[in-house]
Amino acid sequence: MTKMRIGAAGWSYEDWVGAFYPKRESKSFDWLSYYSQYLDTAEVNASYYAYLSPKVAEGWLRKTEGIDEFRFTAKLHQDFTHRRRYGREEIEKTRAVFDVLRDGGKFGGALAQFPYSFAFDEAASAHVRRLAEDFENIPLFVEPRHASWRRDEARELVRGLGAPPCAADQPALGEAIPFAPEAVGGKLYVRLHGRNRAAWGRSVADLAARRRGEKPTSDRDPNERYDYLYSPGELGEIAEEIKSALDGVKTAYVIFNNHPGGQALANAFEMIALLEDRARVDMPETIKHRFERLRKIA
Amino acid sequence: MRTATIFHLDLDAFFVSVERLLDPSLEDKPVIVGGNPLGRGVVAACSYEAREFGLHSAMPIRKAYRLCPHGVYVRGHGEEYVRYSRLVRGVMEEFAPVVEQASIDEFYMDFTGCEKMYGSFLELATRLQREVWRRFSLPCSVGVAGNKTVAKICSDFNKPRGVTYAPPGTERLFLERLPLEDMPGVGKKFLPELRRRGFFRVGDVARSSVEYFAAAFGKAGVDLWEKANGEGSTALTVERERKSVSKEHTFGEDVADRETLEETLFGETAKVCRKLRDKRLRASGVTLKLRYADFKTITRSTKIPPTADDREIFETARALLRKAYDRRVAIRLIGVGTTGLAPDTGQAELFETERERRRRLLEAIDEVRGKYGFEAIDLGRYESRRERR
Repeated sequence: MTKMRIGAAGWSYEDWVGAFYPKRESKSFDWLSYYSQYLDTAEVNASYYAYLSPKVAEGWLRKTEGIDEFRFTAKLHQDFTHRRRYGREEIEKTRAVFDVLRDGGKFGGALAQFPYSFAFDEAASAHVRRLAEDFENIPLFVEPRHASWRRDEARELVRGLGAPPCAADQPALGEAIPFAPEAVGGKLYVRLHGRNRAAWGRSVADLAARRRGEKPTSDRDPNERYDYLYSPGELGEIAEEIKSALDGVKTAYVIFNNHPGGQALANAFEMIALLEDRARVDMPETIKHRFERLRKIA
Repeated sequence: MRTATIFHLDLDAFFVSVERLLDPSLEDKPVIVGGNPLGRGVVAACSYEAREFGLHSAMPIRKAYRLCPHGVYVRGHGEEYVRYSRLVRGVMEEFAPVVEQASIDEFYMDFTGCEKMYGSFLELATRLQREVWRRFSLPCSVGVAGNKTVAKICSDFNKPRGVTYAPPGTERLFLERLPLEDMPGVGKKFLPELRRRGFFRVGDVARSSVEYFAAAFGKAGVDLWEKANGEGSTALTVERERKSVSKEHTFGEDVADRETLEETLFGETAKVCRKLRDKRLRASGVTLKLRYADFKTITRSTKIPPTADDREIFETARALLRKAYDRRVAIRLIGVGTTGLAPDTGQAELFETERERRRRLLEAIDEVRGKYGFEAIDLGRYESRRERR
């Protein structure tokens, strides 16, 4: 029997107030505590931008106290995946946070999300190998975005390291890797970024402009590309694909990153109904009110 | 002769059901799919609540609006219908050895010879219906009979959410009392002519002579007479449109040896890719089909960057096979399909020099195969096996 771990990428979004978090909050109100009452998994994205203090992780443990089932997964800092320049110090700082979560019994694993430009070649494969060594004993998930990682050699490498490849659903642009969940070592990791094709294309164009040293054509909200609500049919298709990859899987992470306006949460609740075969899913009034569709399962 | 068992599954008010999944506030309301109520379109579908006002599909939408001005008129979400149709088809394929998709919301299944596996057909029909509801919240009706025509009439008999079974030998009895307008093929023109001649129920036609019907109505008359007597086709048309290119192989004897399976898969893949290249198509989806000795059939699919390359498609299909083949039951049939077909624009892409080179190589191979037959070149996979023989 597979344990389905369905959640969102992050929980601190202002625009979730009203859509998920209640509007009038008392001083002691805490977003993570509230989140953990309804969902048992969260992916930490803040760790990608900054080296967090272990104290922060201790705070998370406190806020989810009493909910033994709760798990955090955390994105590796961009030094490891995008800049690909790091040393002992960076490893130590990262491990310190993981250790806190692990000792608290709430660590799901680390996610190495590589940029689209990170194509499979010798240097890339050496880098992934080194990363796996540097984070030995840490459950590692690898998310490559370039289609070359679908090649047999690349998949064997990732499998050999015991690191489940993370399957990402996003608009199919260029050589982006197609969505194909695959389990390794009894684990499966799926990230759903939404299918806002237009905004995604614009953001790729902006990124390319910045690389060329030019100014992006406009200053758009970088979150625009995650602004998407999966339709029930799309979720049904994704659920079928996930189900067909569940043979022998003990834990399957399904993380929604289409966070604007709480859409990730609405889709997460719908996905729980689909993957856990549940007619009813516990959720707060706020979200039922915001997303009428949810009333079918609320 | 073995009696055939054909199922017909029809999604109830399909477009409306999907619209209600997208917007639950449409529940219990008369819903009309078809766009602007003041426009020139027709009703694509309407809910049962709307039908009570005399609405039906294909009615001019303005007329519908006159009859039911308080209805909710929606433009429709074609993409979602296609998506759900595919999902439902997937469920059918898990159960039935052969599935024909007759339209976006209708499926025929051939369960002939499967009675030992599934026990009661009535139970199986209910199970299919439940499964579609449980997984996708879509209501449907199922008809079971010895041929397609009667199965379709059965599924229509007790809509919505009906299950109707006409066991072999009871078809005539079942049809007898039905009004003629319930017969497929009896439309607005045919019906008054039949009535004028005194035919009102199916039984009236069945009891008449085929010669009379041939003389009075020609081929249409003979068809109707045969249908009225419970006859009908049992041949399912698989693949109505070319939305996929696939090949499959049924083994003379069931096979459990993985190497043989992979080799066969390789051969079938090569044929599929040849066909893709012939038609100048590239596929962006690969489906593996396995039928076990006990007739359980599974399909596994995945997406790939568009290609018609033997190696890429084979590697994908093989990966699916390695992942899927986990039962200790021999395989009766193996097949590979390609979907998401799009014209091969022939443009060399970035990072793709190797692929491009292979594409030209494969085109050259096809030319040789065209001249000397398919077995002339086999890309070096059969070699090892042949030497051992």
